[in-house]
Amino acid sequence: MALTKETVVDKIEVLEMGQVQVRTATRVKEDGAVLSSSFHRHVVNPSTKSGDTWADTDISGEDARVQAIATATWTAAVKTAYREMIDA
Amino acid sequence: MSTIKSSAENLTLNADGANNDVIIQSNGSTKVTVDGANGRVGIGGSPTNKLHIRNDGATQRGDLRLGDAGGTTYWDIGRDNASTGDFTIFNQTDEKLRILSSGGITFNGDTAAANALDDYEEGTWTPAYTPEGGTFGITYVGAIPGRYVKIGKQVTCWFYIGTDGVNTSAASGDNVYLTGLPFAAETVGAGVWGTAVYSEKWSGENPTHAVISSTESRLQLFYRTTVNGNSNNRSKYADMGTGGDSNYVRGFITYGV
Repeated sequence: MALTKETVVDKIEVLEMGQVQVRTATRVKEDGAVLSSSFHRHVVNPSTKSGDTWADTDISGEDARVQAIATATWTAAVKTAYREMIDA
Repeated sequence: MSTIKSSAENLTLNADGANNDVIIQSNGSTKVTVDGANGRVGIGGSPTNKLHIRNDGATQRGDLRLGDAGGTTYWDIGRDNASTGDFTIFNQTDEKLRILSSGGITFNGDTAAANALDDYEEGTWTPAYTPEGGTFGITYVGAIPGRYVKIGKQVTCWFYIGTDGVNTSAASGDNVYLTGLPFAAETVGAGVWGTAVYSEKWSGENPTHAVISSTESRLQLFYRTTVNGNSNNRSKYADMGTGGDSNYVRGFITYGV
């Protein structure tokens, strides 16, 4: 009976304004059968405001798939729309 | 009327030979098929599952009826042929539950997708203090995860956060946020959700309430200076204690996503 623990990004959602919602699942398994699982979530925004200045969000610490989706999604138009929505 | 009857022993209807089916017909039309090759039973057509009931196109409330001995009270369960394939449960003529083929559950005859309960999830998130600009050097008290429950489009998030040291030398912009919420708030006009919070051990004003705005995934913190004073004072990182055992905030907020 081998107990293992794995943490995987199991859901990546892209919202209308470009925010990327990331769900991370932690699963404890015994011989491959899931004994328990839990979720942790966070949101990555298309742009980040520092003081009065908008900048690209640093996604270097995100899962590779999250980075790929964010890079593909966050066009200049998406970033601009998000910034204008927050500043409105 | 012709009857096949066995009184003294079990009756076997045997389509002898490998993979032969047992078929029951009425007036030349197949009503029941026992698929010998796959061990399946089909009603109304060939089965593709162990038990497969094919709807005949009629708009009855369900193809499976669970009733009392007299047949006067019953539940009807099945696929709603009048819709796009929803699954329904009726108590006699009253619809009690519907699973929309597009996802979500509705109750008591409601078929509107907007009213469908389509999600439940619970989990954790990581509350953090973030300055309006720049960054904090910050150590948190213990590892206290935030928790959330999402029911449909409503999310409730619980949080409890405190610090054991804050360096604000790289921060800018004055205000401090509580960040890391698990879902972005829905994008709606004038969408702002607020809550009161319990707080203690800030060096300046303790936050008294918090709000999340449309589209955002962070809480703005506010404090109230006097009973009749302006209640919209933003909490600033200058009000945070920089030493240990400081800057506690706990509470919960419910918002739409």
